[in-house]
Amino acid sequence: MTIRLIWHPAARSWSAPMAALAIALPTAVFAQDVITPELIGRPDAPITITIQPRFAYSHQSNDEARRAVLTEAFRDWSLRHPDVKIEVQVQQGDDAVIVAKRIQDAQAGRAADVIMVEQVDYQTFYDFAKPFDPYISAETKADFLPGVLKGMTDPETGEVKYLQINAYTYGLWYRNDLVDTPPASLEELGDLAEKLMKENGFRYGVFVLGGQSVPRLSFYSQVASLGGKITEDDADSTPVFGEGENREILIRVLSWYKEMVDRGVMPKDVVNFAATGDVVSRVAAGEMPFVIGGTFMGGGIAQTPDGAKWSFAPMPQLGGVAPVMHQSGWSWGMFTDDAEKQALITDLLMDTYIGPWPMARWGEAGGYTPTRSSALQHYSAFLSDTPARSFGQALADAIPLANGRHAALTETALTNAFQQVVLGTMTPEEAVDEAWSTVQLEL
Amino acid sequence: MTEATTYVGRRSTRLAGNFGLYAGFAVAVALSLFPIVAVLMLSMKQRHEVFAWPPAFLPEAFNLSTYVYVLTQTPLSRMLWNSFYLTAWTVVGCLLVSAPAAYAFSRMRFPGHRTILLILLVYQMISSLVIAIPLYRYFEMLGLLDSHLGVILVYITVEIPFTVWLLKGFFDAIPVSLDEAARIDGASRLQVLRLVILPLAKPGLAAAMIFNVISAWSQFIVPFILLQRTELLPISIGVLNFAPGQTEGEVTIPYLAAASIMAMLPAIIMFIILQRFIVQALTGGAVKG
Amino acid sequence: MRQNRPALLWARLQESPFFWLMPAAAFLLVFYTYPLLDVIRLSFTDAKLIGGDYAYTLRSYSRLFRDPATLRSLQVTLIFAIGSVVLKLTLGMLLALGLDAAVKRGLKGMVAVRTSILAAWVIPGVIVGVIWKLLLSTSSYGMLNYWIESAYGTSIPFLSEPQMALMTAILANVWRGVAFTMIILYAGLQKIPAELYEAAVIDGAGAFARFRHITVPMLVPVIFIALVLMTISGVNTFDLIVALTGGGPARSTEVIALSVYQQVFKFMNLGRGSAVAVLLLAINLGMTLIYLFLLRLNRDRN
Repeated sequence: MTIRLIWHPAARSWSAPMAALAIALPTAVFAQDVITPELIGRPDAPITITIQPRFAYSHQSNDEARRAVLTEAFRDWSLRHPDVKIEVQVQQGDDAVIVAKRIQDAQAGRAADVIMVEQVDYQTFYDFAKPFDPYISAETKADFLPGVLKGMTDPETGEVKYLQINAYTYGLWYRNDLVDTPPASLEELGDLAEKLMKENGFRYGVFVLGGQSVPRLSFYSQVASLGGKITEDDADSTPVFGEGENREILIRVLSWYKEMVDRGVMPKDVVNFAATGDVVSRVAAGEMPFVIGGTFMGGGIAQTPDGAKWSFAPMPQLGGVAPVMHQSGWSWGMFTDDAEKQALITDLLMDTYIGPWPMARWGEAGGYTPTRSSALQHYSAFLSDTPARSFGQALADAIPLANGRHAALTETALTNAFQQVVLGTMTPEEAVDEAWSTVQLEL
Repeated sequence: MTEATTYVGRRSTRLAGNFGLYAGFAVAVALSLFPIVAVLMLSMKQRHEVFAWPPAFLPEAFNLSTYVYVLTQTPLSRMLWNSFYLTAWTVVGCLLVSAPAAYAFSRMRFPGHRTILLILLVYQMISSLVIAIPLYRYFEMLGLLDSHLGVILVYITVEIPFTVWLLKGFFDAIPVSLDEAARIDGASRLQVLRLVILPLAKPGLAAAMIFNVISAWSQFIVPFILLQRTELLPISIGVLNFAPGQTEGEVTIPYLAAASIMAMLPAIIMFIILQRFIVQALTGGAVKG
Repeated sequence: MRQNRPALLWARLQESPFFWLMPAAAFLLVFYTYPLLDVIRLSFTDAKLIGGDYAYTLRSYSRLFRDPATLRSLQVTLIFAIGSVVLKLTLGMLLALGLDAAVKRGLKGMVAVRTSILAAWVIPGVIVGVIWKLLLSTSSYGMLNYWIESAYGTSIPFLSEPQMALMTAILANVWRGVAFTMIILYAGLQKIPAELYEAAVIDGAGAFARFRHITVPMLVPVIFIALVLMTISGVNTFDLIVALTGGGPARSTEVIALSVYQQVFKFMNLGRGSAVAVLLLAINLGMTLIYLFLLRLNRDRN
């Protein structure tokens, strides 16, 4: 694997690759024993760290590149810490059930030592996660993007409870060979999509993941940019979308979608799609020139035959106003009380996912965007004119998505509203009002 | 022309009837197998073929590379083994526990036995989703979380109502006079069960076994709630690792297809081998209400 | 006779039904009853998944019944369950009759036919959903829609139109489960003595009359069992639907089991989710009681 980095003296873990090179030759023979799918390190090591990564973020992943990066990172760390063994328990299957189980574990005090937590679940686990502050420097903290750091920090205690590995934001994917400047307004997007459909024979004009993720994917940004709010900025994410100006703005956004469907620019089956794979397959088939999607689609899109023809731009807004970008992502949380383990864990995470170079390396392998300025500024992928660079730029001012306890309820109601509008069973006004009454009933 | 049975008519109507039956079955078989075959085709496609437009039904080549990948590079083969293991123990355990209960319902009259049978039916109605979270907490208390033992115990419990009822039906068909004859000869009830009833109820046992296998093999919610480590998961859960939701932008449709086929195949093969027994079981024994 | 006493005790033990029922009862009581009671208990609270204090209240139930979505999901569940049951019974009966006739006529290849139809039954529900979703995809790997579109010019919104989605879910469920009905009814058919049919033929009864007056009444016990079991499994269906439609589009396939999942795992409302779970149990119970009642009516009439 190539090391295409620019040396930055301030970065902490440059030692890692150098040490790896130094150790690699003599220990190549022994390295085989150290890493198995479930255990890293010698089975008789006295200290055990239990770690629960997500399947795609683990060295059990389906993907070659990810496996290679993580295997190497974990093995190197393990060789430098022979008295520690790492038990890997991969989280797989349904996210909601996984979180539910983790909550039960945390309440019973038997959570694993290190667990991956998604930004949506930060609120849930603030009280259970242990602070990283004793183990990371102020400089490191400042290196994280401001929006990301805000989410990582417990609002009540001011302590950093999560180390966010990556961030994704939402915007517009477009065909750079057909479009010179990406449209900044939704109106322009509609016209351009229609035009390209006719000229180039695309099946559709614009695509969006219309399943459960559509509020996060699109509405939050489009409502906030016009000065409205879907939920309050409080810990509960109290919904406010159904009244006054917020309601008007939301109706306008939904109306735009309705118009897209009526004009034939957006197909009704968007309501079926909730997963990245669904969009990527359409991109691969070349069915449309625009996708309202997230930066997390980057990896998949890049692997399609025409991957290089796609670029990413910030979310277009009604009336072309400046976009408010939102971010979400995955992070590591620490749940053990043992101080020695906490120090080891922080060190492990720095060397595998969180240090600037490991973060950049992981980001490259997985198609993710780092959350640290140093990673973004000194990694070549983010300097050259590639989608990765545009991700980083889009993330610079992104704010965290709503993640309070009413967020899920709100999003489900709004997804339903969206689907009703797209399918034509309700007008935007009716849809918003029904979503509002559903939500009110539960509060 | 007088006819002995209703099934022998004039030759032309008979041929027409035969043709009609074959035609009907051809449709039924085609409908049953089409989705499976389609997925099989999908599993042999390469990535670029998956998104080719216009799509082709048949893959370019009947290559098994997806299967090789899925079986060697992923935990799937381990998960197949787990499914076998869990299913086998469930069947054994369930029969061991249900046969005596079925004997009691069949051979003994005790107060409330009708009610208890109905209560059994109520247990049949409980979906594992309904008890998922309390089950998780409860098993955590019992220390049975994340273990095959815990899962097997729940599987057995899930199967008991249906198995007891099924076996009771088969036992009922065996004349009590045989019991009595054996008792007169000095056999204890246990010996009667073991030496008289069970041998005669073999078709019933086979049927129960097969229903248990199918049910245990298909279990999803229970292992999902109770298991955490990859090496313990059965294949019904492992398949989802290739689903679009979990792959974070990768395209793994052929792998998903291959994994799905792998998840079905052992059950189907076993079914083909045992299907004589199941039909014989259901027709030879009694399926009474 | 000291040797007889343990033997005597052992024999007496075997006389007690308790001895025989105990293992099964133990399993049911230990592993199922406690969680079940816990769910019922939780339904009378406003507990959250995240824990903390909770109070005993009827609020979960009152919210449940005030929510218009509850009625909708009840409707969806019943349509799904009853639709599946009716189709499975009808198709199963047709297949069983056909199989019976074919076997009696000595047609070849019936074993292969049976096996093919039974093959769909052994597939885990989740995978059935996955397979059908792949098959019906409007994306480029969805073969079915490609053919339909080539033939008719438009694709069918199997999964993206609300009513169609529910139909599709029912069809997928029927596809998976018709084998069970077929095999059970086929077994039942074997039990019917041929003499009854012969006598009917001599009396001049046509095929349909024979079916109505001999086949169906003789099959009533089997049909009853099949109905109960199919209804229970239909009402409880979760994994097939979650894999196929996820409850959408626009909540049109949101069966009650899915609401349980949503309330407990997505919204973290343990109390409310438990109330929905109790509702699910109540529906199961209700439908079973209806069947029992019908069975009694049938018995009384005969």
